[in-house]
Amino acid sequence: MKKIAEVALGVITGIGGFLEVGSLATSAQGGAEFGFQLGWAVLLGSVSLMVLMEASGRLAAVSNRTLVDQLRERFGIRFFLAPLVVGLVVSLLVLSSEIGGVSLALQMATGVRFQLWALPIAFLAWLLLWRGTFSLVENGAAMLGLVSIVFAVGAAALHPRWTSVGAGLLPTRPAHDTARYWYLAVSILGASISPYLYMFYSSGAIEDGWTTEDLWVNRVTSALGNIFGGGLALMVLVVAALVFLPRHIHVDAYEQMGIILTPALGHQGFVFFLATLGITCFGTTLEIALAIAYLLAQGLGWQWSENMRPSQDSRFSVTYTAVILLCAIPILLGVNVLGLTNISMVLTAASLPVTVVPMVVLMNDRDVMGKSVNGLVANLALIALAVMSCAILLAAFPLQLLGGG
Amino acid sequence: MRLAPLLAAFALLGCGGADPSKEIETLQSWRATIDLATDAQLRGWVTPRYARQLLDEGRKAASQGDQLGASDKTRPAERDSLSAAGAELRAALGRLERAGR
Amino acid sequence: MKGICLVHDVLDAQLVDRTRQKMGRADGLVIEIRDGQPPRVAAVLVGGSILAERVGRWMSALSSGVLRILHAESAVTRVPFERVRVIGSCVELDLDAGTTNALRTEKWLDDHVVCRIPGGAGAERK
Repeated sequence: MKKIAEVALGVITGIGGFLEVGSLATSAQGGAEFGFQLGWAVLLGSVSLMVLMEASGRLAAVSNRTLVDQLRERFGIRFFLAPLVVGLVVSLLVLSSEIGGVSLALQMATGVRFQLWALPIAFLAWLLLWRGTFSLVENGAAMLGLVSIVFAVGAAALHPRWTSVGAGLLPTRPAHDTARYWYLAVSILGASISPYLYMFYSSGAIEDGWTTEDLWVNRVTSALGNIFGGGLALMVLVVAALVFLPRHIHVDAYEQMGIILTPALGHQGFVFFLATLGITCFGTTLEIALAIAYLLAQGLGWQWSENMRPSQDSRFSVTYTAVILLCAIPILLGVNVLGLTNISMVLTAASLPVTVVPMVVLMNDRDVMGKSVNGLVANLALIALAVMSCAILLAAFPLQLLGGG
Repeated sequence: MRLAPLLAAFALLGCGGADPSKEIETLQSWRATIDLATDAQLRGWVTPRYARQLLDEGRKAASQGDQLGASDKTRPAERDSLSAAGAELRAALGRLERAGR
Repeated sequence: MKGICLVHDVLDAQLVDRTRQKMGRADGLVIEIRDGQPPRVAAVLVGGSILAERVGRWMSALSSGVLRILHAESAVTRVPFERVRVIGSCVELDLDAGTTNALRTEKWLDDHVVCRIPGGAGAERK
């Protein structure tokens, strides 16, 4: 019974925690410019994340080491520098974007400029990490994030042709602006398959004390959480396709998204959109700050746990304190949040090989995984992901040049 | 490490010189956004303070269009299209402003 | 007698003390070459400067530069290999981490930053 409750909580956390500033922006842009045609990128992103999260959760449960631990221990410091530095840079950019997302939600609600919200939001996020436990951080924000279900309600209220939505789940050639289409596809993938997510997930498995008895919990949680969460991202794309595309509205600023749910749900659509943007971005702020601290602490062998008092793991707690403050600064200075989000999503997608490729090795290492090494299906999926991530890396720069405008 | 210059180059890649045809699309997009917001404002779906923010963003977009239209690099035909799109956006901004009163 | 794969099982492994407190990773190993005798693993080294040397000269130079700016000294902890008790998913050491330099930065941050912020100190778990 307790395990079933744990699974249910894990699935809810996955759903409520899926949307954030990147997936909101990229799905909306995709729907506004290409209708349902980029649905396949949302689906591919969710399935890919599901594979990576299941693998990193299984790795942690079986070996009692996180993904970051294993990257350092199995590949040594010279290789580890790559995921460390790349992971840090990309995560810092995304963290700034998330703080920006919360700030913009509050600006749209109150009229107070978004720059002025950066430090209060950073302070509140820091306070929750300083005083809160892992469970509070992971589950609390994600439960509140269930407000994002409003996009499913809004999509249903707009009465889309679901067969057309379904057709969009298969890749098709775009009718116009091919470079822009693929740029948005890569951005959507980057928004879904963020390395901080599966690194955070494997750390969470250790924080929650998972063992081999929890392998089925891991499988169900990662599958259902990401499929349903990805479904919500798809609903954002559907709403944008039905509201923005017919009016030829391109999303050039987050402020334009305030009206996205109003044709479907009126004033409640406006209120719930702001709540979704603010809450989901805040939850992700907490996650990424912790993920950065986990990355450094585990990589360098420091004491770490969100469940410990800060004085028990000073380097870990000072790290998340410092990064939250550092990443609030660009928002305080008025950086264009949508521009920052777009760049960080493409960079995230391009950074995947440094974590995905070593995972293929780790998940097949019997010294690490024992009996729980990858089977044929898991290997095919992970290898396909590794190949896709290398293709994205090669395409990222040309796409940013040709389609990033 | 050579990462910092690479990142800067990456960020600048998407910031090439403004393309008049894209700018016209942007102005038209903003006009449509403002029209949708006006409708939402009249129905009480969005708050006046939010509508004012959209007004500000719309004005910024219009002024960017003006700057590109005034540039020597813009051809006369493009200048006319930019001017027309800018005028439509300004008319829409006027309607949103009146809806808020 | 079972052998130890030093690079695979010890180098870069997580080090924990008697109380299972994490005290860094095995950033380096000292192997003693003795005349007329087989080489001997003498010690495990923990420290950023050791790590920097393994990465390369540029990293060593960067690390020295940062320490100069901060007016700090490089602290390398040398743990005699005799203190290694268990080599498993972590390397367990028969010592108290607090008696070594390995937690110097941790202690400094605790005394000068963390404990000055409300909620920083207290019972071990939240």
